[in-house]
Amino acid sequence: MRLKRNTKEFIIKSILLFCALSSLVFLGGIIIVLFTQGVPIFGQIGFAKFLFGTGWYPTHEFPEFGILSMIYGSFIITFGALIFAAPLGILTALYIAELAPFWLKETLKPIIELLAGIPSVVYGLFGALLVAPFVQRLFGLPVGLTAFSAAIVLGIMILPTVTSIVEDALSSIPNEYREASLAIGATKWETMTRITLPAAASGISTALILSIGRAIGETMAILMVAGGSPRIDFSLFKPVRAMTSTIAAEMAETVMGSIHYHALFGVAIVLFIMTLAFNLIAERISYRFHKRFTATR
Amino acid sequence: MKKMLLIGLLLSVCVFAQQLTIQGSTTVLPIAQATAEAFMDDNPAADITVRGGGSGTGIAALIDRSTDIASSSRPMKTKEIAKARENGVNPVANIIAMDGIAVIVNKGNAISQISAEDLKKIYVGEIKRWDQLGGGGTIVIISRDAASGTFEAFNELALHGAKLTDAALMLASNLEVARTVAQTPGAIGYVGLGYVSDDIKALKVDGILPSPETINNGTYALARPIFMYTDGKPKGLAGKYFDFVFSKTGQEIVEETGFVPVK
Amino acid sequence: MKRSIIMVMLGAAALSFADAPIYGYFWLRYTYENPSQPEDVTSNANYFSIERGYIRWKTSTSPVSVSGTIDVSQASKATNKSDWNVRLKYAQADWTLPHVGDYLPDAKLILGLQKVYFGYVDRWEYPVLEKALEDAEKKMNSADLGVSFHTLLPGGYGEASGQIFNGTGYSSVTENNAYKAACGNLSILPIAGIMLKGSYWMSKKPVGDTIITQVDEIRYAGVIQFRKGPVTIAGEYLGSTDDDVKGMGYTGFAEFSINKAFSLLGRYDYWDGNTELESNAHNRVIAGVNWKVAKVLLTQLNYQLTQYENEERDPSDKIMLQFKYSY
Repeated sequence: MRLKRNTKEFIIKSILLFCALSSLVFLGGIIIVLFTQGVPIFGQIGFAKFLFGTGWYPTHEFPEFGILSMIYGSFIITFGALIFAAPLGILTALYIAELAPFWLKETLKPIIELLAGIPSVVYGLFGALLVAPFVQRLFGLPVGLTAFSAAIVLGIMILPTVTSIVEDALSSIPNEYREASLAIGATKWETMTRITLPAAASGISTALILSIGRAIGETMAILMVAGGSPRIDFSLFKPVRAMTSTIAAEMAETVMGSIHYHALFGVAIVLFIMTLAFNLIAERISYRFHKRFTATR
Repeated sequence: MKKMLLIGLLLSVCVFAQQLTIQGSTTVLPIAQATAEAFMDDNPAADITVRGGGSGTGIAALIDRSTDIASSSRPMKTKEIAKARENGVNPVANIIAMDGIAVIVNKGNAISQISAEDLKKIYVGEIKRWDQLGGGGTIVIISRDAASGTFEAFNELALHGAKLTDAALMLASNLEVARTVAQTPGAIGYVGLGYVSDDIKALKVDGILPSPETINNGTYALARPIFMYTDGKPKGLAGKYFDFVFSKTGQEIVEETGFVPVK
Repeated sequence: MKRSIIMVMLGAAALSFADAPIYGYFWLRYTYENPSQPEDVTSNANYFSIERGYIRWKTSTSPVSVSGTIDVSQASKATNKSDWNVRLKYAQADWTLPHVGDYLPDAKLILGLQKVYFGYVDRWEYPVLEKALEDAEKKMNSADLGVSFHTLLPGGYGEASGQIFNGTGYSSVTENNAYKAACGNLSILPIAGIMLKGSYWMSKKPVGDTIITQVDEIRYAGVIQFRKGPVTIAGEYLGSTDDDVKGMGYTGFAEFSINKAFSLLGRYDYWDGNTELESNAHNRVIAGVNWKVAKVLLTQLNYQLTQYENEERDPSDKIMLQFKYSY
């Protein structure tokens, strides 16, 4: 017996709809779990004390749960990584999109994307065994596990994100722009810096903001490389502690339902809201970017 | 055939009814788990459940009789003993292992011993340079994560509850601590006795080098007994389990999990 | 002076409130009453009540910790318009004494509105709904304002305490009371499961508004408790002297836990408020079932029968269903 065409269509449609909805359900579930488990900490010690407290002594007899030093840690690593990855990524993308011969382009792109496929534990080992001792010797530091080392490792990890999104943005710029520029006698360099890059500016911003979101959520590598001191030094060359590594390192050994357990979920809520904010901003910018170019065409 | 199966099922249910619960310290969890598994391999009829939750939780469970064995990294408080006795539970302490912590430095460090007092001062952030102790350079303080059992032991034995300086690096495993100390000239760290290797140097604390002997005879300062409390002397399945833990195989498991055997 | 002490206590309690976790419980009860003297009860022989709500907090500071309990209860049996009492049950500072702890474990001074360690009231956690005998017969309060020394016996073989109180209980701490009470308690646990306890409480109570004429107020109690496995059996003897009126009574209590969720309970009280008078005694028989529905909810069903020595008075009985919710 063969199903009627319509019925078949309907079944397939339903299955696809179900799949599409399931991710929504998962997201909903994650949010519910996060908030039911995390919100008690705000009640127990106070929202401001949690967010702006500087002491993190979760297992002490008189515990303190201030996560300011971890917010600081996450940000300094992330922005360090961005300072490292942004110029490198944008220039690489520029070369691939504008200058590279076809064969080189087709070789470079997959290699860069391969970087994204390496597990973060491997990056962590690479960072702890190579980058950290190197940084330690290079700058004559007492210890190599610092925000700087973590920023470099993280920079390499977000490089593929930056490169491929910037490259997409550059490719989506209509060729007429470049041709017009070259036709009025501008050099290739002038075309790139004065026409192509500014035109892709919002695409580049999207790339950077998305990679911030990616970087702030990175866990394993940072856990292994950043050192993990919950302290604010305002220096790249000191060990720092990120929000993600705190959750990863401590969650396994906390008692379910304890104040420490809720505090870790509280950290996760802060992290979730931050990542969400970065993604929304990126979405916003990329939406404007696309609108502009679809309008010109 | 069906009948046979049914009888078999019934028999297995009866046989499997031998149950034992161990609850308590997360520090003791690795020993409890490993010994329970090995014991069940030898005695298929036994069914041992191991739960964490912390020493206090385990002791509370022993007091209200919801566990057979309470594992604990500290002796019971008088208050807990009184409560247990009032509840008709007679807590008996069984020391199944010793927890010993070695203080380690980089091999290049000139220092080979430290007083318990100076060690505490380093970890609370009062001593910041090796010069103050006869060495040279900045001290890089390395600690385990606050949720780990090793940290908990160190916090109790070396810091006596004082707060760790926020300048300390918090690493996720004993191996990472050992590796970082081996890589970093000015580093000081602490690990379970089993993680001391030739790449690093273990310090004498108050003049005593950590070893199974000095830990068991109580001369080494950074050591403490690991308890498993029972209601009365262990009998029946619990008795067999303790016989196993104190056997050669059992004590080998204790050593494999990073603790110091008592026998 | 007294008022200012209370103010300081309240201030300390408020301060500690800001930095301490809050916990406690609420008791929601339904009672169906069949009174022996119906004229005593105007209406509502059956009613719902929030018998009591405890809001507690405690700081974990050392060596002095501060804790408090606010007691919210319905004043009447819901016969009138909603009439709520909010009062402090406990507001105390525990000072763990230095050095003494080496000989006497957990020795501490307790200052403020605190527990009275007398007799079985001290141990009574309402497995059945009726108050402990001394509380039910209004011979002892469960809390009072004062100073105590409390310690455990070495090795966990029991505990001892000496207390000095205002003497009026926690319900009227702001009253200008002029008489003090002293209380001594000793409990020992010779072998696991057996507790023996003796308590003595005494004060001089003024007659009238002045302190010129004072009469003795004395309470003494002996308790024995046996607990092994699922079984608890306890008995208490209570004696009282108010001037020349002597009262005596006893209580027996048993609990059997069928499993982790269910237990069966029984209690028998006898109280004679004045041993020299005939037919003024009464007894109380209580049977109950407790069901621990979840960690936070305990459901209790009680049947309570009160019989009077006075033959002209009919026995009264009531059925109570209570939900105890803890948070």
